[in-house]
Amino acid sequence: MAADMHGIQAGPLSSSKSGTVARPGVPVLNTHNLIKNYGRIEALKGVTLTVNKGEIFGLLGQNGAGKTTFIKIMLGITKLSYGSADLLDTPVGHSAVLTRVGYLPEDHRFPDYHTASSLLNYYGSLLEMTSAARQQRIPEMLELVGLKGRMHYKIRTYSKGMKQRLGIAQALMHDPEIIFLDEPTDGVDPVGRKEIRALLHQLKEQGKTIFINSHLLGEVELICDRIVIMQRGEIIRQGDIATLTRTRGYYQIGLAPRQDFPRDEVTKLGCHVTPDGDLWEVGLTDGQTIDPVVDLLRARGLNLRHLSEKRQTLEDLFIQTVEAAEPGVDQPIRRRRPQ
Amino acid sequence: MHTITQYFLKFVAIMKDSLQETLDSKVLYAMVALSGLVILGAASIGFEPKSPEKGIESILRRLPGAQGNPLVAQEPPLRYELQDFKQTNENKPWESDFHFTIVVHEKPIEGGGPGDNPIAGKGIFRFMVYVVSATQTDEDEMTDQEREARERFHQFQRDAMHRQMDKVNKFVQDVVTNPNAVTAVQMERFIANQLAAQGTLVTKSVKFAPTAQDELRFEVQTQPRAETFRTWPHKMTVGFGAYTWDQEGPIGNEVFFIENFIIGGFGAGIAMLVASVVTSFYIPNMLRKGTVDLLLAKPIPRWLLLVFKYIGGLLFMLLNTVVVVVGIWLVFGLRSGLWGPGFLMTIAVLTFQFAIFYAVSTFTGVTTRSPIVCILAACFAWAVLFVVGWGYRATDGVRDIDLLPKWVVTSVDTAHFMLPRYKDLDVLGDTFTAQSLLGPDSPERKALDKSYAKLGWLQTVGVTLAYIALFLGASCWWFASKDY
Repeated sequence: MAADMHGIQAGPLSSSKSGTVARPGVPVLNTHNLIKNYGRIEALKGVTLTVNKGEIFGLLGQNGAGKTTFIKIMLGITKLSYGSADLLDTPVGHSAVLTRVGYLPEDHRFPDYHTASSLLNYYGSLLEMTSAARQQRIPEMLELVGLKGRMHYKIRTYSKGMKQRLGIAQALMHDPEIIFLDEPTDGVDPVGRKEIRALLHQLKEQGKTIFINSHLLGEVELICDRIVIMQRGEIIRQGDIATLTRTRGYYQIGLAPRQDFPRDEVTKLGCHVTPDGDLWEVGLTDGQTIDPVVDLLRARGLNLRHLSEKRQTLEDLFIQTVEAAEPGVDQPIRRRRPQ
Repeated sequence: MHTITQYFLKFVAIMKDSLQETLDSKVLYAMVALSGLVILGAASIGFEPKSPEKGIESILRRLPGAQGNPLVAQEPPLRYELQDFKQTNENKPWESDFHFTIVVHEKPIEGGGPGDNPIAGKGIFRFMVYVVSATQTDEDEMTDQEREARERFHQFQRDAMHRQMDKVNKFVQDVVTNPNAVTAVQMERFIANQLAAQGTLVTKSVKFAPTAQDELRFEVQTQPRAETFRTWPHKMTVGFGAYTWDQEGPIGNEVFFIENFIIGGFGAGIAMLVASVVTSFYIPNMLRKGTVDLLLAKPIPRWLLLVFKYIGGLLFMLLNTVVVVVGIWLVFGLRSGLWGPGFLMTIAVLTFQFAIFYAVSTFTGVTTRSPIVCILAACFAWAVLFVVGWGYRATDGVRDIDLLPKWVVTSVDTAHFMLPRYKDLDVLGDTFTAQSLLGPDSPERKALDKSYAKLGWLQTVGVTLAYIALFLGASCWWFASKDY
């Protein structure tokens, strides 16, 4: 379907309601020692987290790690058991703050007796948008996600990708300050995913804060500024993407064509050398820098064409991090009282 | 925007959503089409007034004892013959004064009395007067003799139920053979009361004037009342005159029968069932995973969201009822000339009754999220309230004669007191309809007025509202406190 294949455009996203621009460093989401128990199951075990204004923040974890529970607590859909959580300087559970929050749930199910237009009108009314604002925003949002041509068709006729686009439209409809997206690219084709990425960057430029849950680590790597990895209800790793994916002490070196890499001499410097396609991967020992290797190559009259510190993919990092932690995510855990 | 305005706009949005959900199910269209057919059927019913003499004859055929039992081909024990009929002015029949004579003929019935006791020939009319005077005279109009007669009659009923045939036979013999059991004045009053009850006629004079021994002859002069039209006999045709109804009854009773029993009883039952089925999907659909998250992430308190959704369900029933009731009321008003605005109260009564079942359905919906369980719960509630309501009505009907064991009466009274007053609300609707259709002194109207007077409306509405609030409150609490 055309609407499914080509959709999300750079469009009329307004500035935030407060009219302010992005001010990184101002926290918009804060949790402290957040605990959620479902009977004897401990879904969240003392999660402390801060998300700043203007960030695109990724929450990663295996199934059952507690990602969706965390988002639902922030939105008041699920109640926290212990600890504290604030959203836009308001303790969670106060429904008034939800006018400033957008949300796309995972596996959402829109009432299929609506059309895209009537659904946005319905949700817009519940979000306290004026009639004039709704009339203006509905076509704009549907055009933005490539559904304007189908806006008067029943949702039951939409493909999964179209429903996902509609989900994004309803999350952005009321120009929220913070947007929670639970698997936003689920069911969307590669072109659509690229468009969603562009849209999210556009929102970030406007100072919106975006909180993403996703299994698609490649997507998260391309979109997010900062991530948290959760395992069995606990944060096991967090930081900005660049820092986390950097592999300290490993470099990739490439020489000019037809020049031989002096593998033995570099090995004698104490480095671990392995071929990596047309390049060579040089691993340094603790405390060593890459400078002696570069000096050696220059001394041999070799032309250095490529030198970069090796990074690992987010997927590598995720798997490495998760495997290092305890395996098994859905086992019941005896509940413990907070300290 | 002001908070109240915001909530009102959210309410409107949820109502529109409920309407879209209903329209999408196509059931509303089917209901409206069905309602249209019912209204068309009602519009095809015509009413033709009887002439003055035929009209009075028809009224006399409704007097006590003049109707046999068609099921067993039993002829009536009494026949009231009209003689010397005169219309003393030229108005419409129901606006005219009449002068006529009634001659009562008694038909011998062999072994027709209680306990095979023959109430043969003479005395049946006297027996009828005795019974009717004892049971149908208003309490404040009763003489001491009539009160005693009433007590003797109640004892007679108890004896008949307990098959104490000696006592039964003695009572019948006393009344039938004792010429002083009923006086001429009582018989005259009986005639006057029955003409008022069956014909809404004011009897200016009635005189017991036998010309021969044992003859039962009454000379009567009547004048009409404003409500006489309601009881004036009409011939009813169906299918725009294609079929003529055998029975010729008071127009008010004919319209009342159709509006109250066919529409307000049978039709309302179907509407209630359909509404229960359709609306049983509202709450579970709203609570589906993936749908409820989207709603709960909106700035509206959960309890209010549920209450608004509940009101949306009530709207379905209200819309259906408005279409049918107003439609029927209009066509009957136009076709018969008898406008009974009391029937419009049926809209409120049916919606209020449905509110009970929908509150049960809502509670079941939030706790189980299953439409099927919602339907079963609503139907179960309906069955319980129906049985308790009828049980209470039945025990109340024989309360004066101590026919049932005390524990049965106490159990039924307790269940009736504790539960929502579904059948009492029926009485409310029936009474409003009857007040604008039936003759003020007709037995049907008096029976309804009697039931109505017995019920404490504050209590009936209060207990029912309390139940609705209880179920809705429990639903809101559950919905508000649960994690989704």
